[in-house]
Amino acid sequence: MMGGKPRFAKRAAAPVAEIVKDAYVLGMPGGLPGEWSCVMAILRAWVLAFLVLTVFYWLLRVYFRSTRREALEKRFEAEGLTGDREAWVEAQMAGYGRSLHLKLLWLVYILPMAGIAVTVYLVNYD
Amino acid sequence: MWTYIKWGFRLTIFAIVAAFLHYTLPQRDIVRITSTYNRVTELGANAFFFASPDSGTTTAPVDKRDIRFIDAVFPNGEVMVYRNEDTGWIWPPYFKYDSSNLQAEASNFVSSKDKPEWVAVTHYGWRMPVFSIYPNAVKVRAVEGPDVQLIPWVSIIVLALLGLVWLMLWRMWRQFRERMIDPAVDDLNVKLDELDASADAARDRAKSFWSRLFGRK
Repeated sequence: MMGGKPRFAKRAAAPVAEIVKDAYVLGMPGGLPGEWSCVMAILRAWVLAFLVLTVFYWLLRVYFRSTRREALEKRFEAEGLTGDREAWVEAQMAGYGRSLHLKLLWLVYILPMAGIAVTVYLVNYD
Repeated sequence: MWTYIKWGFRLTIFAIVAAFLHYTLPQRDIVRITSTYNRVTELGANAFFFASPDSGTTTAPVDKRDIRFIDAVFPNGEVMVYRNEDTGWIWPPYFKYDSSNLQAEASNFVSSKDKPEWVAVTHYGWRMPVFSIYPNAVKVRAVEGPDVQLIPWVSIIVLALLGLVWLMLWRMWRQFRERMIDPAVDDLNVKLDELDASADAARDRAKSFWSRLFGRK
């Protein structure tokens, strides 16, 4: 990313197919004309952001499910319910997945992306 | 001894994180711009402190770039040199691609000593003459005078968010330990106790067997 090797020295002579292949395989846009290099860089940033955000999504999902399960277990004991505790907790957890998914979708994917959009606007257009 | 090592380690980590944030977060200088120009600059080991080669500022195969610079003077007479490069799309996350416009705005603000026009230059990075590195200017705004107080809202918000993320990770770790690791350790302890007990029992049995054979009645 920061080195200065003469990697694209063949630029002028290389056939288009090879340039495109280089650009995709290396994830480096050096072989493509100016406007395309920007597009490739944005795509690469998107893929990276998506991966990082997915890790966070997964971590938060595990965490919130765990705290909810713990709260349910405590409620079971506090209310003095009888029967199979595990089965009761599972039944209570059933509807939780979807609502959590929606909240996390907003929290983890949409808000950071909106933050990036706001940054782009403030830096370049404001 | 161990305490010193532990605290030395913690302080080192803290210093690295603090330096990293200080480099990356935006700061604003109140300055008067004296000139703007570009100069072909060869980058060597200090390339790390410049934009990544694919961010649009350069397309040359060797790292020798035409970089835009902005000269400025602080109210106390000290000078500052900013570079003006696109940031690219990953790090630092400024997503700046309007270097040309910024250069034009900066040129428009060039003023003389007798009729100074004070501006706030938003930038990140450090000026270090030894390594020939320059802070990257991100934005230029006119301000009323050299004594204006600016509140670093962006830094406040970013630091608050980072603190929130840190707190969240810590709580996640606590929850993971409480729900996954501690029960597993407890299980293991119970198992070990059982094993211990059965070993004791076996020894007792063996003892009584031998004592029955050879022991004195």
